[in-house]
Amino acid sequence: MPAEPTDTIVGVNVELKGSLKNRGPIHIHGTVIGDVSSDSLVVIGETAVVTGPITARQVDVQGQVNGSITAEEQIELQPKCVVKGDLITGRLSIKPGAIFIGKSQMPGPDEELPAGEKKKPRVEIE
Amino acid sequence: MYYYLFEAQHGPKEYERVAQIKELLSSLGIAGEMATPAPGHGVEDLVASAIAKRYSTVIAVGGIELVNRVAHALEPYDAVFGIIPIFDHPDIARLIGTSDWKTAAEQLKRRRWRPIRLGSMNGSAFFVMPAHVEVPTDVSYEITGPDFVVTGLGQPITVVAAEQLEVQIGESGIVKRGFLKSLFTDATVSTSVSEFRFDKFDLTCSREVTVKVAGVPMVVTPVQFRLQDKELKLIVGKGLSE
Repeated sequence: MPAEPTDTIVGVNVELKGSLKNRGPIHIHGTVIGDVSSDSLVVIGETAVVTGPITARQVDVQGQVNGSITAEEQIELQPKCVVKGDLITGRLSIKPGAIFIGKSQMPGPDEELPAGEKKKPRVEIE
Repeated sequence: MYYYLFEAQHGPKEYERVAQIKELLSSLGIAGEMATPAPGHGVEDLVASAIAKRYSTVIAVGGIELVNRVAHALEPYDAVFGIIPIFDHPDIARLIGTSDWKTAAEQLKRRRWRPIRLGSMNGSAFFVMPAHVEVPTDVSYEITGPDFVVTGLGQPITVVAAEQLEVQIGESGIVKRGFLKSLFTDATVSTSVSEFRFDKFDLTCSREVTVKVAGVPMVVTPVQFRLQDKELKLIVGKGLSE
């Protein structure tokens, strides 16, 4: 039986350079320069600064991202977050106070997302 | 069948606990040969002696330092490894699923085991207990793995040998996730703590820092952390065995 995916956490006091990949969730509170990918959830915490592309099933952004975000299921941009980059996802939620500079692309029901999943487009802007 | 390696006792509480353990082992019907390391008869000698006498199970009865030394001494052999902690310790709970001596003794009788791999440092120092590095506040560190590099300043670093090398930065003591996640489901990790897993990695610091296992200095930085290929069969509780 395969091992249960475990969390990877980048703490507020560390800087990571390179390619961060994990089957399980990734929580980032520090600085990451490079690409981030997970088969599960990526959480960009309030204190986090990520420079590079992010790919995951779901992405929750509370901090700063300078790079594209691709999420098969959902991207949530929380209040006070800053995202400079393009978004590709099946479902997008932008909360009041979030700053988003870039383009968003939401594949239609017959289009395939990069990871191969079909999703009905849905946008929530509060 | 069972060979018990007891830690040398130093106080009345330890004498009393060891007597209780011996009594319980007898009542469980698993009392075997018992020995205590002494000058001239170290842990490595006693383990080699147990294997020569064809004991199939070697048990460390004591604290984390003894457990680490017995695990290292057993690595060349195929004998099953057991642990009875004299006193509670979270690092032992991580390994066998309990830090209670009575439960640990009862687990021996059932003889459920799982494979574990030892960690190595610079190819010479081995560990089954977590390795700790207290990086002083004025010292920077760099952890270089196959895919990424992590840098920081002055934080405690803990390395646990499991299916991979689990690294926790920012909080000394036990690693709350990984195996302990199932034991402490309410564990919360602050944003200052980092957790990574590697198959191998190197640790360097801006000046020499000592790496300790079970409080014993093992090596100084720079250190190459690796997992040993050979697996030990460790007796564990229900739920941790394969």
